[in-house]
Amino acid sequence: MISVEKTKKLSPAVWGCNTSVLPQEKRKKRKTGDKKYIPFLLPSLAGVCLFVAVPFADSLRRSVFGTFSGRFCGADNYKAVLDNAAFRLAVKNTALFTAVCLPLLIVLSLMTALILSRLKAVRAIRSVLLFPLAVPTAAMVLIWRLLFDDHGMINGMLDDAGIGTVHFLDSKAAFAVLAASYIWKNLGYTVLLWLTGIMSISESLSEAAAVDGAGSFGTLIYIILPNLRPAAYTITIISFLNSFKVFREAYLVAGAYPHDSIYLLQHLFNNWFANMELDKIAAATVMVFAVISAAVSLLRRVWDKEAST
Amino acid sequence: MLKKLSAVIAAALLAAACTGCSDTKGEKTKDLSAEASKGRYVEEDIQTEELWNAGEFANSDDTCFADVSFVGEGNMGRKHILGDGAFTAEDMGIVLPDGIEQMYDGVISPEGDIFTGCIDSDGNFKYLLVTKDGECRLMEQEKDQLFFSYEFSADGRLFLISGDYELMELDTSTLELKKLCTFDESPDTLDIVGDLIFCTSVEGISVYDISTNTMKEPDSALVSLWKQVITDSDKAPYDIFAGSDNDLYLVCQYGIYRHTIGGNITEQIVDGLYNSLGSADDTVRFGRADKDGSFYISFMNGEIRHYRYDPDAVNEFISTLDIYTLNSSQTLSAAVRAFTKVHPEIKIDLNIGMKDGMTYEDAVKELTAQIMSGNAPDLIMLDGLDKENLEEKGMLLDLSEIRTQWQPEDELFTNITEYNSDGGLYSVACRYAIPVVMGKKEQLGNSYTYDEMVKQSLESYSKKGGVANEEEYEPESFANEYTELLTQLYGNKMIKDGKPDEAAIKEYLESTKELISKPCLGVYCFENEYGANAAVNDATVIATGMADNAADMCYSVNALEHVTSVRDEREECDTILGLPDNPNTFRPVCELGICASGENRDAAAEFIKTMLSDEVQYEDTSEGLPVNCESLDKQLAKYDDTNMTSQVMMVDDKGMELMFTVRSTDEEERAMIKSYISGADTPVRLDAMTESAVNEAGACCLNGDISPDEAAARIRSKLELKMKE
Amino acid sequence: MKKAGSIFGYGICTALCIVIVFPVFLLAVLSLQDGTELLKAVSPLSGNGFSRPDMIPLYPSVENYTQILLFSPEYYTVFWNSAGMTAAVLISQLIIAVPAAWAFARFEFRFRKVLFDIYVLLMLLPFQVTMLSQFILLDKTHLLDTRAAIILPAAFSAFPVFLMYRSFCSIPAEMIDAARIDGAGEWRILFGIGLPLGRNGITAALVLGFLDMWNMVEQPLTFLKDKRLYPLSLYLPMLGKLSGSMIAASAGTLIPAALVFIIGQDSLESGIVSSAVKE
Repeated sequence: MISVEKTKKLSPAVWGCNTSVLPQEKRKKRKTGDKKYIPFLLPSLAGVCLFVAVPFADSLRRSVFGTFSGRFCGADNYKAVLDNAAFRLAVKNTALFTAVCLPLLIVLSLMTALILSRLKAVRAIRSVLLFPLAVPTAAMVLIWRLLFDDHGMINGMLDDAGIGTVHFLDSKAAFAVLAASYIWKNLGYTVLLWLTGIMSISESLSEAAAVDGAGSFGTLIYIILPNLRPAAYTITIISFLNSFKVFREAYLVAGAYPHDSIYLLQHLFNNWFANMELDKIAAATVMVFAVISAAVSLLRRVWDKEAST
Repeated sequence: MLKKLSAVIAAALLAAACTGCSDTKGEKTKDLSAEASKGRYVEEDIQTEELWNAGEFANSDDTCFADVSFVGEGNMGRKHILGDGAFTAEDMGIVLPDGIEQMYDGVISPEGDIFTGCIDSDGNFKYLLVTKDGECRLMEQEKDQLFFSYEFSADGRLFLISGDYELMELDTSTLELKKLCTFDESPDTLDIVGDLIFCTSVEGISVYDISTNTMKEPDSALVSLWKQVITDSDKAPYDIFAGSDNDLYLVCQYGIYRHTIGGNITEQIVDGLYNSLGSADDTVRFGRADKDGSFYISFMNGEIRHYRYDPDAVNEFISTLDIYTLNSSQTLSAAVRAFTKVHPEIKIDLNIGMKDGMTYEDAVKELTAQIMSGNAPDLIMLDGLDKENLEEKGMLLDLSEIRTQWQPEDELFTNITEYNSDGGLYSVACRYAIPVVMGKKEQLGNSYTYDEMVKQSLESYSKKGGVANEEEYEPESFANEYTELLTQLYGNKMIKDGKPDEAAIKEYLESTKELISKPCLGVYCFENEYGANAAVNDATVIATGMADNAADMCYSVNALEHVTSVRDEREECDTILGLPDNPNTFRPVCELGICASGENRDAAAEFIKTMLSDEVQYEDTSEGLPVNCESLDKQLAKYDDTNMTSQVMMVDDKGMELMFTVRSTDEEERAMIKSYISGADTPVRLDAMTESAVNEAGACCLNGDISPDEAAARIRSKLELKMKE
Repeated sequence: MKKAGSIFGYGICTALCIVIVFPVFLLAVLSLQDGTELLKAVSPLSGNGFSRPDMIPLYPSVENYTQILLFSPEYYTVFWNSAGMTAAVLISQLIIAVPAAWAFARFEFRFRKVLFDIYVLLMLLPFQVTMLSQFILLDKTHLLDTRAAIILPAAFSAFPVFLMYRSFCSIPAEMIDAARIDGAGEWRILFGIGLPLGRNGITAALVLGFLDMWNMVEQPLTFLKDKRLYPLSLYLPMLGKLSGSMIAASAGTLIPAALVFIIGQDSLESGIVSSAVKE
């Protein structure tokens, strides 16, 4: 009874609600006044509350009450955290890392995806693109060491070429290594996501634009990019999430107290936890959460200007 | 197509994995659980003389043990334990061939044949077969052929492992050797269970079936157990012996385990933690299972103990004592054993933090999580942990009141045990190591700094004109040891006013780098009598190190007194205890603290008392010297009544091996030692993070990767980062 | 013009492939080298010289793999631990997250937006933040040191909800309305329309979820004590530093993940194929 033809025509995209494909269509939502959604949502909601929301609330509480004294201490913990030099360093590094790597990754992958989308052989390399994501952390650590150690392969090549060796892991270069590792890991997957988004833009659209006289550059700006907007939102969130995952590799290679340039927030949290500075963790958590919330809402504001979701 | 292909490949691989694992699935090692409320194995000492040279237990019913030695004039005697535990020695009246001076490692067959190694008057190693009729036959062997181990099977056949890694059989009537198979690497043990010969080595277990004359695959369950036993303790002695039916037993420092041949499970019968099996002093040698299910285990120091199942022994525990330690400690295990004997109603739960795959920080996080969630351990061994932080956070109990329950002050070196007593006593050090400098008489006695020591050494080295075998010497391979030694000796000077002293660190690294750049001079650390492997030379200073057991003390205080091999010249060395520029230092080890939020404070306090008692402190581990005065006296006097001496081997500057004999200390030397210890007031204790930061950067520096400047800078930035947090 | 562009395109494509594949290639190659040859790569790291591994094994040998597969019974234990936990989590995620995503996407209710935003935010919190509270919770419910300690928190993760939400969003409303008019119940609609049409999002969630679980390190390290429950991702560091076995085990960990990709690729693909068909 349900027409499959219709589905193809509307070309559902994986990562975006293609509401702008056919502007005339309006998506109707059924108003459920009878709470039908509850059984669908409840298990997930309950679990998330239990395992994530409640712990976070506990952190909130702990940030204003001392863990060991139990007394209310108001903004003391927050002040202590803000005054803490290690915190400032970690925030600076993490922010820098995100600010540099996230746009870099997104732009790089988008460009690559656009180029690749014109090739027919795309399908063949799709599995290859996903490989880096499958490499386990311990293996990554191995490879890091083989490549970037003071006696590693890259230094070997540099030495042969007459350039001196670089202390990759114990100098500012560590930041570049971390960034390279992040981009290597996520590039393939992000390209794939973009590709999926690009491919789902209906051919008829671009043909129509060509008929109207738009060159390939024009098509790019006015057709492709806007249609990728929902995909971009998802990709940004996922890449942001993955940027936290570089911590484990950095930790296993450079230890809990790495070079200043790659000392991230998670290193700080890790060490604070080992030293039982639970108050500081709680206060810092709340602050970090606030910052992330602000960033995410900003993102939503920019992306969902059409208020379609 | 691709889809189908990949699906097929995937299925095939997974299927292969499945079949591969179906054999091993379900295999496990069951630890002893005190589930039953009654009944467990009880240990008894058997009254014995010292049986130093004994071999494996025999496989026969009445003759349980073979220690063949001289009794009377050239006669061979034999000692054995009968079924009722009685111990007898008998003169077998067998006259030994001329020239035999000493016998060792004798084994007896069920019928009574004896095979033993012996040493003749020329110092050659020979082998003697004594048949049950009393006939002695010396084995004709190729020159220098040695047999590492040998044993009789249940039907009287003799199997041996030769020095060329071959498994051989010796025909007892013709004395002919027949080679059965060859191993790739040197097997450590040879054990016969029924028709199977088990040969173990660091690489694995090989099983040879006598009945079919083929090699067999060892049971995977046995392999995993053995791996557990050997990897944790780096070639700890152990023995495999036969049980009833198809069982075999493995005895090691962790206990006695049973395994049914062909089966999937190994089960722990006796837990080594609570009895002498796990002791540092007495390492397990051989074992035997008796028909009634009890065990006889012989130990390296000649004692034999009997383990009998007592069905009425009460297993119920009134309370539990949770002990947490980052790394396993011999002293701690000894204390567990002693404590259990006195308080069998308290169950001890020993939790070792640094498990495989865990980094140090992960282990500390786990401890923190435990404490925060209300599961704090009762007792913590603080070695390696950030003690100051725990104190700051109020995690440790103030022991000032409790300490009156322990030994009176004059029995302990309280300057060491209670070194940490500013504003309350939060930890007790139960062992310690002290630094020693060894060198020529003339030079020692001036007080000079580390820097000057190095300069003087370099001067005499250049006066000597340098030394021959430069190519062989690789200081880089010792970089780690050197930096470790530095932090142990001067760690307290590397942090000043809570901040890392970059200049001091740089200075030490520079000096050491200069020192080791010349071959055959070395600052090296010795932690037990086998540790010295750097060159000896008659330069000024040849050694500094940390002496942390009595053997070390004897060695360092009067070592090199007397050369017993190749070189004729006497090398005399003097020692001073303590460093010239860092006087009265000591390194506390085995520090215990009680958790403020722990539940069982009384038991914890009692445990500390046990830890400080003479019984535990007397065990001469290489962790540190005893804090108990009486134990120290006894340890130093251990070899007074015997002619026992320690031997140390060193390699000199020409590459020759020198054996040095070390005698026990004399009165004057003992007084010197004790006076240093009583006056030690400067602890050198670094937490694990600082230590590892210094060691890592230091090793890189000594390796030549980075300059001392940079190493010091790196260390500084790491420590600063930590302090900022 | 097109040809030049296409050559450039292929050039980029190749360069990309090389960069992406190189470390994996290195891993594979090293795992096939025997102990002595491996020294060329490994020993300089602790001493002198530089690591210069052979790019093509001169003496290829499978001894590393045999060491892992035949002589290490623990490998199978950890492998199946990982596989079991991953499967359990993925199945639970399907059961729990699919309806939740459907609810967010298709139903209108108060606080829907807010709640979803909260989901996204909570998803972004790093583990260290919630670690202690989760530890205490699991401890009080006696779930510590059991498989459930890993499976339960992961099963209720917000991440798959986020991923599936998008693809559920894009299902045209008319179809659903039509189905409702025909009298189908809500669950029937989910199963009949949502699952087939949202297939791509679900696959994506499964694939990423698989990866997360397969490489999960923090949670097992904190919540598990018994070595017998350890997953594969923790086993690798246990093997010590840079040995042949470790390299082979790493390669071994890679393979199932790669397989999952290859299998899941088709679903991803069909989404693209269907959209390329001309109207």
